[in-house]
Amino acid sequence: MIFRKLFVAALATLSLAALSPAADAPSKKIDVDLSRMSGTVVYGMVYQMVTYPKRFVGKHIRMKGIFSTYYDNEIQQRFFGCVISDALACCSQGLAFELAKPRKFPDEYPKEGATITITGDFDLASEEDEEPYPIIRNAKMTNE
Amino acid sequence: MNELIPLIKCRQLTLGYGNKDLVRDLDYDVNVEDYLCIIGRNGSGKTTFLRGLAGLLSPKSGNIELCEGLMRSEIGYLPQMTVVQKDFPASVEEIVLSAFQGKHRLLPFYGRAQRERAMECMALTRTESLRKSCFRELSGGQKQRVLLARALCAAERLLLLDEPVTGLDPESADTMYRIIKDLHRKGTTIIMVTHDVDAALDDATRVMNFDQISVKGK
Amino acid sequence: MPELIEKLSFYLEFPFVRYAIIVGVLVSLCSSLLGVTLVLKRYSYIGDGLSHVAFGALAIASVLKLTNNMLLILPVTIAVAVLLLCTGKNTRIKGDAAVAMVSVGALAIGYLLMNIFSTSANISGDVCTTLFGSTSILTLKLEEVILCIALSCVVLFCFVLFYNKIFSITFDENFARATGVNTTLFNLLIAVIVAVIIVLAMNLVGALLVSALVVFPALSAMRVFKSFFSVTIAAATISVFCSLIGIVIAILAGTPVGSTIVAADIVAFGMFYSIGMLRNSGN
Repeated sequence: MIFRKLFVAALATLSLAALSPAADAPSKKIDVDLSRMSGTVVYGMVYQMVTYPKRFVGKHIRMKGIFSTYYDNEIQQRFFGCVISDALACCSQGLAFELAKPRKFPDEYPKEGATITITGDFDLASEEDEEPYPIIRNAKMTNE
Repeated sequence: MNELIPLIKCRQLTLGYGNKDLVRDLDYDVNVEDYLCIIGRNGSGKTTFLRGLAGLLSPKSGNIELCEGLMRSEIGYLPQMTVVQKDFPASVEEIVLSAFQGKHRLLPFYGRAQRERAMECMALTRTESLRKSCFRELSGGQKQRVLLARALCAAERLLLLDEPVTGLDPESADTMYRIIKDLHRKGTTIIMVTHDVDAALDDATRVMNFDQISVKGK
Repeated sequence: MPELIEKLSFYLEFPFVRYAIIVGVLVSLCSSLLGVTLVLKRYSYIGDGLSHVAFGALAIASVLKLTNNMLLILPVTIAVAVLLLCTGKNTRIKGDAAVAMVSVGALAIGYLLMNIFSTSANISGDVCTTLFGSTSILTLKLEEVILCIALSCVVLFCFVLFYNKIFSITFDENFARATGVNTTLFNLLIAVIVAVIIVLAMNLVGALLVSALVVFPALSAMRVFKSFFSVTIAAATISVFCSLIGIVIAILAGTPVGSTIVAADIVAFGMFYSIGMLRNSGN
């Protein structure tokens, strides 16, 4: 419940992001590998990414978290997110992502709540007259 | 005794807590070089009177006047021991030195003169060998002597003692009385609240009985 | 072991990890120093009460959407600290009840306000992190770190400057007052310092665990050391050490920071308790 609420929070500021089909992400060096950090640090790190997104733009990021999705009725757009929670599991934050190779929802996506690993480029999606929000583009997703 | 020079004058003094007056309209002078014993039943207002003299309780009416240029910082006070103190982690030296805090607005460190004076006071109360000991590990008599040393450090002229021998074995009480008597002989004015009427009558130059609020000279 | 060190030094490259360690060390240092006085004056529970008040103030600040919520939290907490510490001394039982009343009241009202008015979508997360300090230490902004450093320096400066006065008041307030120490002023100072520390410590371990930071190092030190000075130094050392260990474990193992620090403090207390017992039976 909290987690769902949070996902909404993380994505609530989202404006319409045209999910442009992106080219294959070339395999490159990972700048920030959240999947190998401890929960406490991951939470701090994601907080940094959400609070100071400009510092991370262009970085290649890998993160492991919980798959979550949210449909915005207003703009008729489905968003996908990777959510991590802190050590006490009472706070969580998520980063939105868009896959390099679009898949069909819901068949080709994992179930909500499944653990996924996302690798992609950190970017700041900005729309006119909306606050920019962080997103991982050209993402590759694997689930366990 | 030579002529009596008042050191503290109480005029129409009323002291108490809340609605209860424990001391009412008291006129009394404490003179220089008195050894005054205050006796009386529990709750008769002895300790309240002492607290008033110590400046811990402001008079409801009337006043307490310090004469002969006596300053608050020249009054040493030996309160009854509190529960907190019985289990307090502090060395004897720290406690005795803390007496100087009242004399300086700012005293982050103790100087040599103060350490020497503290040693003197410890010698006078026969506690110098306990200097580095932990207060909570001392016997009751030793604790009282340490607190007396502290009171002495604070005061050259007047000592207010609140039941200094309560709870002590006869031997420790005896030592305590001898020390107090020596101090009095060296010129310190003593005001002591006590239950121990006999001892009071032995050493004291004056006795104040709170059961009668009549005051006898000796 | 080298692996762990490598990992740690990797984490230390992140500024937010360094901030957490700086703030953790400073807060635990300050809280342990005053902790000795609070424990000895039988005011251990004040820390708890005040932190709940700070939580209530935080709730009000977030409802009012203040940009810098410290502007509200600090004065409110200081005011309550002054009320509790400076009036409660003559009426011990009433003072005790006052602490309980204020602390539970502030907690309830704070949570109520947050629930009704909060614009944040994650109320339970906000509440949880302020109560248990799960994340706030890792999400400090540079300004907050600077504020914490500045306030800690003021606290440390006051403590060193007035160390002997604080000792004299802690040991025997009546005597201090009778011999001319301005006890009202210094009690006021202690109350203000305690409030500042509580507010700072809330970032580190959260409102519910603050009193652990105040009480445990002092109690541990008192088991073994025998002079006020050595107790103070030992409490400070134990507290800083436990906080460091706690933060490092939390970072490496991914456990919640606040509870890990408190757990480290409890282990230290157990050790010092045993040392004290052994020493006593040896004599």
